[in-house]
Amino acid sequence: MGVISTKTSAWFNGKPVIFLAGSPDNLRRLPFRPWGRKNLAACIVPAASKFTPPPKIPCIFDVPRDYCADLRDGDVVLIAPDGRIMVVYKAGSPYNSILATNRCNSLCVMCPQPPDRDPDDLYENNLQLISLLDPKTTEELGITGGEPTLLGEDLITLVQTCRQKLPNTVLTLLTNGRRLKDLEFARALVKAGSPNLLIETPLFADNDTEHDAVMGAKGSFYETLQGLHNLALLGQPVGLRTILHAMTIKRLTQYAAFIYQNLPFVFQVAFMGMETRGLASKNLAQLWVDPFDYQDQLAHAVRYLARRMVPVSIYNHQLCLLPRELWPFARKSITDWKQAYPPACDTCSQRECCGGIFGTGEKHSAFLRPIS
Amino acid sequence: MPFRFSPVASNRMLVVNEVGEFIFLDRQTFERLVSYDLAPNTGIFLDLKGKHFVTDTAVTPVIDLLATKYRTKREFLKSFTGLHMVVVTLRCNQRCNYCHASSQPTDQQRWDMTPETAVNVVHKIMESPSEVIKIEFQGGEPLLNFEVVKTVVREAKRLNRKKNKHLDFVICTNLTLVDAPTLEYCKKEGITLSTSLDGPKEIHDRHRLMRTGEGSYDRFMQNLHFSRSILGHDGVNPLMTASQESLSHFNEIVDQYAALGFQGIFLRHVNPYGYAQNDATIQSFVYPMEDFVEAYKKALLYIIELNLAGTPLVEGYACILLSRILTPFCTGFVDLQSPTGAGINGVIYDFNGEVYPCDEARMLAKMGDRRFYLGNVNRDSYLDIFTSPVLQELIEVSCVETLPGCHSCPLQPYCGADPVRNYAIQGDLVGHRPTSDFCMKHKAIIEFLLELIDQDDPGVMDVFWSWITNRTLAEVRGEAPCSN
Repeated sequence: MGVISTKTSAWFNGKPVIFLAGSPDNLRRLPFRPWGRKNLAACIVPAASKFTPPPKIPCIFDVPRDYCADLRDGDVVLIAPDGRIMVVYKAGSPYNSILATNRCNSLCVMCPQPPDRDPDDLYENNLQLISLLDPKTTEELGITGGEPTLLGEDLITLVQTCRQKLPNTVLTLLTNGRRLKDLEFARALVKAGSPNLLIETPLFADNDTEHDAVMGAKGSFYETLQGLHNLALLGQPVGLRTILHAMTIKRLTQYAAFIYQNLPFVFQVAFMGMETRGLASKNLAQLWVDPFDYQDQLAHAVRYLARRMVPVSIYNHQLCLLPRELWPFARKSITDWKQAYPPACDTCSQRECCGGIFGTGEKHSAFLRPIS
Repeated sequence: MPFRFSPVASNRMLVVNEVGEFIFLDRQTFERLVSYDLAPNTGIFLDLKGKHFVTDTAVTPVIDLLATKYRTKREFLKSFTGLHMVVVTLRCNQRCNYCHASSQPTDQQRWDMTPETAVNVVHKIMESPSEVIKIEFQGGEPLLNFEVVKTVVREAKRLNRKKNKHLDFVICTNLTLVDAPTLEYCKKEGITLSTSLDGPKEIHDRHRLMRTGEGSYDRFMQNLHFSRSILGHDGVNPLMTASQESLSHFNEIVDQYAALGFQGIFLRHVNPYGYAQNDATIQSFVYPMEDFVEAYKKALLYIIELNLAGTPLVEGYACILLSRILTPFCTGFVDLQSPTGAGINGVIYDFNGEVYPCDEARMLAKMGDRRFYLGNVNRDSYLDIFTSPVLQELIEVSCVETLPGCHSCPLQPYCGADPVRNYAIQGDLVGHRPTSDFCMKHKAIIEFLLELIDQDDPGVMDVFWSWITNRTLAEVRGEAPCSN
C-alpha cells in the first residue's frame, strides 16, 4: 500500500510512495535525490511509456492509460501480490471510507453489500491506510461495514488512530448501534472519536415488528434505540437513516413522528433511495416501489420533520422524481464511482443540481425525465 | 401500556398516553382495542404500538422509552422558581375597572416598597437554584417607585457577578408615565416593558381609566411609539384582558395587534378577583366561560387565517398548549401546571416584603384571607419561605394525577391545576371539576386544538409550528433555493 505521486519533488514524511510514471510523459528515469529512495515502494508504468524504473523496485507495467488517468497525487492504492491495483482512497473525494469489516450482526432485506468473511489483513491494512492519509486535505472519512462495532476494541483503536493521525478530519461512523446498548462500549467509542465523530444509524420503522423484519434480526429495534439513547446521554451527535422501499414507505409519517417523540436529539434524518444491488436486487419483487409513486408519503414525512426543526436530507433521489417543495432537502449523495446519468438526463436543466442514479443499481424508476 | 380516554364531540374516542401522545379512534376500533381484539399486524395496531399505547412483544424497553419521555416532559421541575414578581408599589395613576391589584391613590407613599425591603427581596431571589431568573416589576404602577426598581436591578446584577445566572428584567407598566430618562435606563440595563392593551380605543377606554376618570388610550398609544423609538420595536409587549364587551370584538382586537406589529396576542379571560368583583361593573367581568371559549375559538381561526395571508401573529395561549400537545419537551406555564407553578415556578413579593405563591394569593390576603402567606423577606429565611407547609400543601393538592376528575381525564398531560383559584372560587383547594369554569375552559380549548391537529391541514400545521418554533412560515416550509 502506498500514496500515489506523479511528481518527483514531493515530500511524503516517510510514507511509502507509489510513483505513477508518465507525467511528464518524457521522463525516462527518476532523479532520486528529492526523496529518500527508501520511500519508493513501487512504480506504476502506463502502457507504451518509455519510463525505465529503477532497479529492485516492484513495478506494474502496461497499466491501461485511462486507468492511470483516474489516479491523482495523494490517492492511496493497494497493490495485490498478483499485480491488481485497488484504489482504497481517492484524494479530494468526500466519499472516502474505511471498510471496517464485511461481517454483520444483521441481514437487511435490501443490503447492497451482503455480509461476508474478512480478509486476514483487513484491520492492519486499515490502520496503515489511515497513516497514509494527508491530515491537511482529508476533510471527511467514513467508517463503514458490515457492522463496524463487531470489531469491538479494535474499532476503538481504529477511531483513536484516526483521531491521532487526522485530528481535523470529520469521521462518520455507520453502525446499526445494536452493540452500543452497552453503555461502557459506547462511552469508549465516543471518547475515542470526540469531538469530530459523527455516528449515523439506520432505523426503519416506528415499531419493532417492522424494523426487525427489515433488519432480519429480532430484538434489533430496541437494542438500537437503547444504543441511540446511550449516545445522546454521552452528548454524541447521531443521525438516522432509512431506506425507502415497500416495507418502509407505508408508515413513513408514523416513522417521522416516532423519531420526533423518542429521538428528538438527532442531527439529521436521511431518507435514502434504494440501491438495487445485492440483496435489494435479489428481493426486488418484494421491495420495489417506483420513487415516482411514493412522492406524497415522502413529502408528508419530510414536511412533518422540517416543521419540527429536525434537519432532513433526501439521498439518492433524482430531482425529476421529487416535488419541487422537496428540492431543498435533496442532496447529491451517490458516491462518485457509482454515480451515473441515463440518456434522459442529457437535456435536463437541473443536471448540475442532481445526484443522478446508481450506476450500480439493477432497476431504476420508469419516470426519469428531463426537467425543462 | 397506561393510557386515558374520553369521548369527544366528533363522536370518536380520544386516547392519550402518560406523555401526551394521542390518537383519535372510532368507537368500534376503541372497543376492539380494549377487548384485545386488534390483530398485531394491522396498521392501526402498529399506530398504537408506535405511540406506545400497546405492545405485543417487549415490555421493558417500552417502559424505558416512556420513562425517558416522562422525564423530559417534567423537566420544568428541575429548576425551581424562575419567575419572581416584585410589587414595588401599590400606588397607581390608573383605576381600571377590573384591577385585582388593590391599587392605591398616587399620593399614599406608605404603599411603596422600601429600599431595605427591596434589597432583602433580591437576596431571596438570588438564592433560588434556578439558572434562569426573571424579575418582573409589578404594581400598582412600578414607575411611581422607580428608585426601588433601580435598587433591585443594581443589587441583582451585583449578586449575579458571583451567581452567573441568566437574568432578565421586565417592568409591567401602563406606559402612561414613561419618559426619556426612564426608557434610556431600561435600554441601558436591558429591561423590557410589559403593558396592557385591551383593543381599539372604545374597548380599551371602557375599563382602563385614569384615576381622574378619563380614558388612557391616547396617552398609551403616544407612549407606545415613544417607547419603541428608544427600546426598539420588540421592547414593549402587551397583554389583553377580555371583558364581556370585548368578546364580540375579538377580530378587531386581533387586527389592532397585527396593525401595531406585535409578535403575538394572548387572548385572556379576566380574573374574577379583587375589584373585578366591584358591583358597578360586575356584569362586564362575570360572564359565562362558554361565551369566552366560543369567542376564543373563532378568534383563533381568524388569527390562523391572518398568518396564512402573510401577517405573522402568535396566539400565546394556543402556542403554549400546542407546544405541550405536539412536542416531547416540557413547557413551563405558571398558570397551568401540574403540580401548580405557584411558588415553585413563580412567586410574588408584596410591597411590604410578604411572599405569596401567586398574585391571586396576594389578593386574597388583601381581602383579609392570609391562607397562602408564605413568609416575609425581612424576617424569614429562604428555606422558611420556600419549604413552608403552605407551599407543600399547595403542591400536594395540585398534581393532576391524583385530583378527582383530573385523574381519569385524557387531557391531563396538557393541563394543570390552580389550587389557589379553586380555593378562591370553590372554597376548597382540591376543587370540584364538574362545576369549575377553569376546567371547562381548558377542556374545550385543548379538545378544539386536538381536533384541528387531527385534521392535519398543511397550512394550519405550518402556522402552528411557526408559533411553536418561533420561525416564519417560509422557514417552517423549508423554502430555500437549491443549495447543491
